[in-house]
Amino acid sequence: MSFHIKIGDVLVYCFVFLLVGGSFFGLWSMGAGVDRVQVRIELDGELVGTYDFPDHDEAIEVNVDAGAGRYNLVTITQAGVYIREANCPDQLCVKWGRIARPGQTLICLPHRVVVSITGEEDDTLDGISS
Amino acid sequence: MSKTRKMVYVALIISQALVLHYIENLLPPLPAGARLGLANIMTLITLNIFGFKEAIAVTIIRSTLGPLLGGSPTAVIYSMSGGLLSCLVMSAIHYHAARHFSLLGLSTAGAVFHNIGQLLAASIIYGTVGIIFTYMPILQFFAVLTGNFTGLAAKYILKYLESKAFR
Repeated sequence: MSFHIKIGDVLVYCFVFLLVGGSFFGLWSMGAGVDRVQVRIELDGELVGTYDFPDHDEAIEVNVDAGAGRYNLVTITQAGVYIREANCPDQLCVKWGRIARPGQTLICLPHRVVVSITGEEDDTLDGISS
Repeated sequence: MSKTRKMVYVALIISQALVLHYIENLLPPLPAGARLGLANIMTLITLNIFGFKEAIAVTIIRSTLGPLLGGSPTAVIYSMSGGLLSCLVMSAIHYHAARHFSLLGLSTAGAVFHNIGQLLAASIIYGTVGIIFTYMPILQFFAVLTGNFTGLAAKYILKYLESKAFR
């Protein structure tokens, strides 16, 4: 039984590098040139609310009630957003940690909760020219 | 191999895949919802011993029944989208470029496309591409590790099967 690496295997690894690089580029491009960054919380595809990042060293707590006693406690601080506590079975949303850049997303699949950071296109340049 | 014999083998493989799927739930979870993908061993073996039709049958049946055994019904969507894309890509490689791929590379490609399928499904369901960009890097990092692991396992099982059972 041989363990030689073949050309196709190298292609697979190149493809993985492209995907990872592309994802970082995608996140970066979603964050570039945006203004008025907000936190958007959705439950089951419906908007729960959008929240501005706090100006000072304070935290906004949002309790997302997914029904039937299921909840996700979302904490928004100046430095980023994280899910502080949830009673979902896998706890993946809590373990994921903090997100801070536009485009980044936290999901809790069991509770169908999506927390994402959104930004609007920066249109100050248009404002100056007109 | 007779039709009945083949059907029995495929049924055996499916039940083994389901057991592997269940055992995986008992193991400590990996970060970001990454999975070992032990059931992929059975898809790889089916593809190598039987072929595309049988492999896709194993994938569809285990992706439907697996999440129902130890998970939520919605997990079927993610299991299915990942499993089908992974199986299609592995079959394409197996039939058209097998000479250029080792079994470990084939398995890794399957794991990588399993994640792509799942992330595509999630981004369509939740309507945001941010999910793909956020989760892709860490999931693909684990796909390389687990893909090589399942490929290695399949390699040893196939070696045994080919020398003992199917020759």
